[in-house]
Amino acid sequence: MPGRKKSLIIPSLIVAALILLAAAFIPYIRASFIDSLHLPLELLFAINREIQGIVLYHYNLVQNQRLEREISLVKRQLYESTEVYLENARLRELLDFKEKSIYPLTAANVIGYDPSNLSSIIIINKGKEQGIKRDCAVITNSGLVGRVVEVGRLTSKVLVINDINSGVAALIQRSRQKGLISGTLSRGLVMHYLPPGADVRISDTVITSGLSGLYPKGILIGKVIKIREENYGEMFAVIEPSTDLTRLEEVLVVLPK
Amino acid sequence: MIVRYYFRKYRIQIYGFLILLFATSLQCTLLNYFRIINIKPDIMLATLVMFSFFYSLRCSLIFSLLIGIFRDVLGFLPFGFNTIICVLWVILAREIFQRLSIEDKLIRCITLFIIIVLNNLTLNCFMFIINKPIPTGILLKVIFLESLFTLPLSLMIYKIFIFLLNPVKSPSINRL
Repeated sequence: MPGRKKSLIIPSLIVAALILLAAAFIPYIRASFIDSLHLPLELLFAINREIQGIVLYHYNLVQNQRLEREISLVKRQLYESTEVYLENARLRELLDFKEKSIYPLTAANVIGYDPSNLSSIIIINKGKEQGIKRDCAVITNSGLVGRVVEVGRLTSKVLVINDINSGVAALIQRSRQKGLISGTLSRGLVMHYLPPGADVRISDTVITSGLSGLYPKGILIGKVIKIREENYGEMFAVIEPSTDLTRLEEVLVVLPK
Repeated sequence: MIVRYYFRKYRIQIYGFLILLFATSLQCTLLNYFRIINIKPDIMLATLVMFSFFYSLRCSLIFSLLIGIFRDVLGFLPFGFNTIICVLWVILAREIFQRLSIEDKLIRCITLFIIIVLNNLTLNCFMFIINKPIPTGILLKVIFLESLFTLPLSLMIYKIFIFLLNPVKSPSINRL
């Protein structure tokens, strides 16, 4: 019997070797062989993963916490760099405007707003030390903002043109029609004292006329969006300011020559 | 030890001062980005009313003076105007609270509304006197919207006061 068994083992090993050899050379057989092992392999892998998870739980936990910290740090850096990028873009714009401008200018940041709703005042971080004086005009790269009404050593208060107490001598750029712009405490401005039949059209550009002596001539104020009739046939125009006066961050102060 | 002793002794006043500073900085910076139809809530006025509600007359008068000074410093009106009227509003609020139920939310809201309206009307009268009158339409818009925005915020400030001052543990608060 043992001799018979031995005689069966040798041929069966040879057949198995031949099958494996054939499988190595024929891709279809190899693929189906591996496919048949797919499920048990998956199962083994899952078990192995679970065991690893249990064994290395503490290590994974610490690593996870470290990675979370790193992610939050990277996220914060990303936000900061985005903010710096945007600020840089704005300042570049301002600088470009400053270089082109004929007036001596100084850039300032808006650091505060008037606490009440009945006036429109901003506080900037430049004062006497930077050469700012009362009644200096304040602008941005896109247009007129207002004028300095109070000057401290390091800060100044600016009366924005949408304040109801503000008055700007202005003219329509196309027709040279003059008027007086005052604020409404909202986004819009109103150009008063336009004579009956004044040559004013929608989308006309409005600039400072320089008549009051407070603002230099030719600074952009905005565009006409509405024309209405006032008392005694006089007209008034609603102006959309070229600068968003409710969200000012950086401004330029026109220094006295 | 000395610092701890004084902190314990003046804890309520220190919290009040910190709330005041927080309200002022919020009013002048962040609240500007939450303007609706270009009107922002008056958190300083709401805090002022809360001071008169939670603190003794002396304390609330000191805080009202400080709020008034801050408003005058940051605003455009002649210096002293806000300082005076803020003191008046504290006295008025205390008078109302002494006569009516202080626990009623509605009473608190109505008091605050009255003070906002009176504050804006007084401001308008003063502007009229100094020859800078505010158009009626703008004034009405400001009064209505400012009250509307301030009232929900005042409830939040009330909760902050309750949380910080914890009236059960603080017998020095005379109002509760």
